[in-house]
Amino acid sequence: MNLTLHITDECNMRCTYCVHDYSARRMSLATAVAAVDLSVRSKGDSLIPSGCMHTGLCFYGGEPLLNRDLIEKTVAYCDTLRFKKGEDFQYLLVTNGTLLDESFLEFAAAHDIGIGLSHDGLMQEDSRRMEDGTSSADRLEETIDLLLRYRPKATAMCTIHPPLVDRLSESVRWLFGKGFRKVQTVPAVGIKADWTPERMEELEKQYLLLSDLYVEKTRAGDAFELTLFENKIRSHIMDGRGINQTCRFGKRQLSVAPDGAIYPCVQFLDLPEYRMGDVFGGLIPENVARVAGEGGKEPVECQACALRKRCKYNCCCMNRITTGSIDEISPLTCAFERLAIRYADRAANTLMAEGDPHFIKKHYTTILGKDPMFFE
Amino acid sequence: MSVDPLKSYDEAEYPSIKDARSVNKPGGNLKGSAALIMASLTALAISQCNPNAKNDDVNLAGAPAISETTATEMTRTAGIVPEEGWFEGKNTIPEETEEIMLAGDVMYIEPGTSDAEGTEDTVLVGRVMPES
Repeated sequence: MNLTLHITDECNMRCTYCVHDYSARRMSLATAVAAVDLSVRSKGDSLIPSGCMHTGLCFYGGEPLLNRDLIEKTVAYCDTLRFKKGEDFQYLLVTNGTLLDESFLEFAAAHDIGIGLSHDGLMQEDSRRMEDGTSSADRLEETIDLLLRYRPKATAMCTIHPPLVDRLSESVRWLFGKGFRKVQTVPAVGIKADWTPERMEELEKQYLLLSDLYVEKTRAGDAFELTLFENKIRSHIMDGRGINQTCRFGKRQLSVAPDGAIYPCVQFLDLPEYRMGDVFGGLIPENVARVAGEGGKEPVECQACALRKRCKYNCCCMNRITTGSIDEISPLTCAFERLAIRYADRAANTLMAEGDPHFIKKHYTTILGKDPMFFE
Repeated sequence: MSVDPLKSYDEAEYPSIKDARSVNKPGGNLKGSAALIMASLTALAISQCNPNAKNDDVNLAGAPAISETTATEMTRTAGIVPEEGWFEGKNTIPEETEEIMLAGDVMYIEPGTSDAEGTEDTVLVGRVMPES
């Protein structure tokens, strides 16, 4: 079973859009080990069939490297299972990068730990400052180089804070320029993210510029992934087939709170009505069924929409935070999705009209089973 | 702002699997990249229409066949050698595989492979990156 381990609620940064509840809570090694055991024990479990094909661990927080010792000991425990029982583990780490150093990156490389670095590019200086108010951008300059030397496939995860949206396209360009080959961008939402009509207009301008950037990089033959557009393009090519646009609420990767309680998704931690069990006693079938039933509901207004197969309308997390209900979509989400699809199609139309060989290989060779990024 | 479902949408002008289903034997007369695209989509359409279809009866399944010309062109233009399984009707769309994702990722499945990759970020939702 794939599990996201919330190994600490502490963070050494205070980002402008973040609404995380900071606390001193940390996961113990006993809890992490129990989670690993559950992940192994439940492989092939029919209770959550699609979530039990692998044993994958995502280290999450807060800032997970504040509990670095737990990461290293948990991976060491997994190593013992690998050697004794042949279990195969996959690892991911989502970090702000400020505590990354060469010794950890050597460890990450040795254990093939994938890394997602939260970094807002040229918005970082204003959006993501340290807990004491100092700059995080300065200290990450060299860290990014080090990260990409050890983990060249690391993903840059860029959050768009509405007041800084006019820097989005240049921020993405900057991240690619630093050497990232995969960049995610996501508009921040929630009580600290005020998307006024003017900022939405600016977001559209920025998506237009990103569309141009996508064309430019594709023409140049760069191996890159701008996730904002990639999945939208594939969803059209595939007519929605084989593409899972939603978060698979409670079905594919469950979240484990520091105390070991299990929830369907990172955004539902500590909500008693969504508790599915714990790592010590396992999943509770009736709770799993109830959560699955909740996650299966879909926004009524989206059912007849022409973009339904290409939209994340059914993301329970997004819906709950923006509307308070997991099966209601907000106008904001609808607007974000329509913009992403429109400008993904703009880039794809341009490249297809030119018969760009890189675009064709990237998206149509993918259908033939080749690696989308490294097809050369 | 309001939620505004679209009755229709036609801004995507690049080929999709729908096009492969609606054209009669496109691969045989096309060259270069066009042949590659249609061959790709046709293979996909075949596998989805009828996973058990043989190459000879794919038209019965409602999808155009891949000609030898197309296969040759595909190899020439993109270095792709069609897999035996396609023509034998092997389903190139795997059942959903589950690999661990970065928080906020949305998964897409690479057809024809057992790989799944996280793309697209979803969540963020105020808390997007909790460490942030």
